[in-house]
Amino acid sequence: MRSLAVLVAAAIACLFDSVSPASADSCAAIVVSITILVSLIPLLRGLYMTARQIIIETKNVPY
Amino acid sequence: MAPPDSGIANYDSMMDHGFKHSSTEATVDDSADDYNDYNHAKHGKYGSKIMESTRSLLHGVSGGATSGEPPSNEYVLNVAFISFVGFMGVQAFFALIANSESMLEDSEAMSVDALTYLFNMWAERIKNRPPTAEELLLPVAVREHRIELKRLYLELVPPLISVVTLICVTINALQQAYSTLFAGEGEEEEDVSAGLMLFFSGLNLVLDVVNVTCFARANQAYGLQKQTQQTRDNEAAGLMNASTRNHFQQHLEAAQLLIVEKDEELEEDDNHNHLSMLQGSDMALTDHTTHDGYLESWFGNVNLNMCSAWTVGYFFYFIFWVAAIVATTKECVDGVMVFSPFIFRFS
Repeated sequence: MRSLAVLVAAAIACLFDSVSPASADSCAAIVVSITILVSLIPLLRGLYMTARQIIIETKNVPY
Repeated sequence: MAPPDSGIANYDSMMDHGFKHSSTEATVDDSADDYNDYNHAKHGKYGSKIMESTRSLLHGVSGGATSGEPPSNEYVLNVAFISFVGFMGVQAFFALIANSESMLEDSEAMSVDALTYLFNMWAERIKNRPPTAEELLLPVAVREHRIELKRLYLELVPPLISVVTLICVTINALQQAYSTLFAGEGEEEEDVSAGLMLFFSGLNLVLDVVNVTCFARANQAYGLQKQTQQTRDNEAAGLMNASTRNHFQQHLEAAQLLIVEKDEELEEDDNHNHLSMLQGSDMALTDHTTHDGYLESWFGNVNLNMCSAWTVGYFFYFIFWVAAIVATTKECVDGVMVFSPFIFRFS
């Protein structure tokens, strides 16, 4: 998904002369930033589950 | 805990079935026979049995090693960290010479990247550290609980730092992009040396390709260990990957050390108990390492340390592609370099 977004943004920047370089950069950055935030979701989910697991493990001390 | 004799029988059974070494290691076996005889004389029947079992386990484990074996996570992170720090230093030096603010910002971004690799490498190193002699003397349940808890914390804290940093940088980038697009605040920065920037951009791309390739070779693309048919077959056959084998080998070496230290103080009956203890710890660690991603139960084979390192690298890798594609194409079409400080903030 991210690579597709990158390619689309780059293509837009290159194909349309009416789009200024700064605008093209900004559009690309916005698209990529959003895809980055989306791609962080699995990692955030993993961190959440790890935190939950720590709570469970802390409660179940085998002493 | 199983009686000592049955434990020995189980060890023999493991040697006969799951951990039998290949014939290609006959030379290694022959050269180790003298060592085995020495152990027999020094440690008596059961001490020798432990050493023999340990050696056999190590042979069996290393029997799965091939020249095409993937590198360990620690190695991959080490390569990434060193290469990023080296590149960052050189780029910062030339950025100061060229008076390029965007390249300096790029170096700052790379320092965040390098720190992510460093934190996660440190976490991987601690996770793979063998248990100490004192830990081996703890009850198996307590020891395993401590190991699990330590691993969980190591998989939580370093990635959390990386993710928070990454989110802050991304939000900052979004704000600046929004300002450029809609508030008209963006003004193109005139970099002193666009050619130098392009040169370092090319080098950066090569660096990213090398690191992404390393991650892929370690079967850690996005931190997810590939579950190929081969790995499933290996697991079914009782073989382990490089990281797990390294962990297991370190554990067994610690066990050997403990035997040498304690054996002189132990009577033969104590050796029975000692053997049982080690068998218990071996089994517990085998269970632990075999289920080294017990996270499988909810998220597949995920190592969050590798996942966060990969995500950061992935991020810079693709941002860089934006800069490279846009800049190269624009230069060809318009004859104008269009690097903006915004994109180079991430590249």
